Amino acid sequence: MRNVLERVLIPLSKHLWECEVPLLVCQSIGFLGYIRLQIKEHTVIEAHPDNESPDLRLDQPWPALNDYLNSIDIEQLDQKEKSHVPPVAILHYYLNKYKDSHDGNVPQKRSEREQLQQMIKDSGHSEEGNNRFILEENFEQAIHYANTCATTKPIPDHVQTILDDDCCVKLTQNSSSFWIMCSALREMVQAEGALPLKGTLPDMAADTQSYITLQNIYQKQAQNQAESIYRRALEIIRNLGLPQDSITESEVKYFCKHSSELHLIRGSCLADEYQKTSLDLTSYLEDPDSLIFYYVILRGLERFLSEFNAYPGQLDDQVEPDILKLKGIINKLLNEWGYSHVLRDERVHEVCRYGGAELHSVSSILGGCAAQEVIKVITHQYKPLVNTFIYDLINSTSATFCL
Amino acid sequence: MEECKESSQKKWTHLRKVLERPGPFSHPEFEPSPDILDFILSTCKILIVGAGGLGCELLKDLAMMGFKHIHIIDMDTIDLSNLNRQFLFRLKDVGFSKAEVAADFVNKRIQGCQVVPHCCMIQEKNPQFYRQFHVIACGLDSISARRWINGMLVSLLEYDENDVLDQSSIIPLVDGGTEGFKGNARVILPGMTACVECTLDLYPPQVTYPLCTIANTPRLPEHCVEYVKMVQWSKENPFGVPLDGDDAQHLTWVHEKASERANQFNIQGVTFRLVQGVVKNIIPAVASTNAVIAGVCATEVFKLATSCCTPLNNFMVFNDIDGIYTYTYEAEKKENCTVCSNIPHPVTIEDPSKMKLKDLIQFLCENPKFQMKNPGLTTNIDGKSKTLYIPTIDVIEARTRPNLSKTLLELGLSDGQQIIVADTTTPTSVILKLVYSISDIEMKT
Repeated sequence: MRNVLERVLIPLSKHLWECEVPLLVCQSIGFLGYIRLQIKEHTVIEAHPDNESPDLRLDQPWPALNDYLNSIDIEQLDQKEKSHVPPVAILHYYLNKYKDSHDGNVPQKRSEREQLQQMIKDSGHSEEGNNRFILEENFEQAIHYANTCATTKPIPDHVQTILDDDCCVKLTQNSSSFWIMCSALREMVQAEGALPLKGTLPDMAADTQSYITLQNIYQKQAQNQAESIYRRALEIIRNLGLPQDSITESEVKYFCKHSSELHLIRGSCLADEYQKTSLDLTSYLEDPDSLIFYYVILRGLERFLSEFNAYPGQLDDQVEPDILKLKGIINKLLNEWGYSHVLRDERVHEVCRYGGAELHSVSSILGGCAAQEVIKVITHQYKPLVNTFIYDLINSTSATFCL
Repeated sequence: MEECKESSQKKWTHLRKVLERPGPFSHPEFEPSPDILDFILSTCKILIVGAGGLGCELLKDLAMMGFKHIHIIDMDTIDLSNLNRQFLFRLKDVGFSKAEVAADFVNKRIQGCQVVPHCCMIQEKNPQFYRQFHVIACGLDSISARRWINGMLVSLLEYDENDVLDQSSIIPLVDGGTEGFKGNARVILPGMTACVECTLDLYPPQVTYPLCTIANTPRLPEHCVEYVKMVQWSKENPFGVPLDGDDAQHLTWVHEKASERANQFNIQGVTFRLVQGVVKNIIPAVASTNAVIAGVCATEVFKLATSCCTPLNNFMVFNDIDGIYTYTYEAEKKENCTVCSNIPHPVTIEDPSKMKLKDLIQFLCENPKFQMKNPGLTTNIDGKSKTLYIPTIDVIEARTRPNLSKTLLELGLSDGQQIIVADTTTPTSVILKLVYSISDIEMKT
């Protein structure tokens, strides 16, 4: 929706909030853009995080992994075998060696990890001729993995919050399959202290045979864990008196694979922003350059539009007087919210210059952003905007505010 | 007369607000006037490079922003797989020139618009062609084409006898790029601000392949894998489920089919690891990202053409994987940039009696500063021009090939020698200066 009057927007926002239908509002004016996403509760399973470190669990290998990795004695391999052995096997071997000399503890601190990395480095050189030594690629990767992957990752806060949420703890017949799966996951996490294995082995320098063997071991374990969570979910369903087909096995597998990416968003109602007597902008208003001031100006512009039935600066000879009027409205708004901040006049002037003008390219940008947010909301993939976005095309910068 | 009338038409009232009124954030030289809209409607000439995902958006945006004289250049033809996002094309257009269909669509849809298509390679156009434009906007998926355009615009710069840049010879370049949910937009004022070469290390090696290449002209083993992944899998659907990059059985099947295809095309190197890398590293083209980046670029073209607002300074990145995120910063001009600094580039040679010409060429291809593709080298010895190696002309290649295995000393190249390098990544030559780190070398001639 674009540039809707307050008297239309507020009841619409309330109604959709109650029906739990997400609402996305856009405004495009001059070189400024605004997007607000109103959504009561939104859950994300597959967040597609950037730069995720692999989930290798070498500090707590399960029997199948342990048996396979123990069968590879790195120091007994010949030169050729050594250059093809998977980095995971190298890391496992030296992690055990490290544990043997450190009372069975895995490295935790940076200095300890460096010690482990040095052990790998010392054994990984091979002769290239001319007395030159090179570190094999697989050893280099093992050193790299030793940084982040030697120990099992703690449960991320955003997942723990979900597991502790009332919706997860107190299931009802109306609980969605997401919350039922979370409840089953919660039990497993309480028993094992870790999230289910992702089951994904990153690409690494290794021969196909051993890589595939390892990949199968990781996948099999992930599958076993997912199956046990599935069985638990089926019990929960039965206890709730819900039909057995309300959750499928493939749904649970997908859920488990992405269990470290789970996100829960509980939004706020747009109408509240307009009806609350105080809006908490304190932290945002501290920075005089913050784009939050454009939010404040746009709120003033909406009120101007409702009061005068025209945009500030809509008529050529009214630009100057409208700047004063708009400033008056904005100061009144800030006072209502309990703030005494002074806006930079030039920003108010710039908005009055636009006189309600809509620039095609600016609307096109907002349309692209808004479309993607709608897709995120529908697919439950990727994390949507929380909850207010201001795009300043004057300087080509943007900011997100949680209102 | 007709154009003057048009600028007063009601449909431009929105543009007139920002063009005919002063603003606190406009360019210092901005003088609000109806003449600016006239300039956009009747005089200003824009070139759009690329008529793909970004190009279609750019053309639509600029035409809707009032620009009438737009040229668009693209050598490609329309493929079925383009239709989901390259919205100026329809099913009936498959196989036709992207530039021509796009121009035709916009000319019909937007009254008075005079888009001129060029269905050819950018390298086929001469400097006079590029000189006619006020602003050039790029929506390309290839880094080497970007580098070429950038080099062309730098070569159009004119300096006076005191080496002062003639401002009127600057043609601003607005460049956009997208990859999945990420994108960037930048403004380059050649000779003034950071150019494409100044920031070459920002571009990671390209990992996506156009579908037409995959379907018709595979060259790399990756192309074979992509083909199986995108075409054969959905056609034959061997396991009745979508392809899962973490399932060894799936990958084995793809590996087998990709190897068959590779054999058919005599392509070497389809390994299991490669299959896995390609299957899991897919970066799809996302229509919404294209809309955003093209919108940002069109806004910058509008700002540059009208001065109604200061332009982006000078690089913006966009990402909407997690909420909506942008970051804007000023990329710095490199004092010793191979293209826009106009000085010879020192290359340090450890031992010229060991370094062979082919080692130097390899260096030029692999070094992040040069990243050349297939360089040709010539030099000047005792006032006589000498061809060291030219790979692009068969006869000369054969004649100069023996030089590849000769050392720099054997070729008679001395400390401080200047070498002229030509490469497809740049329309002008790059001049290298050899710097030997061993000073007392006897020339073995």
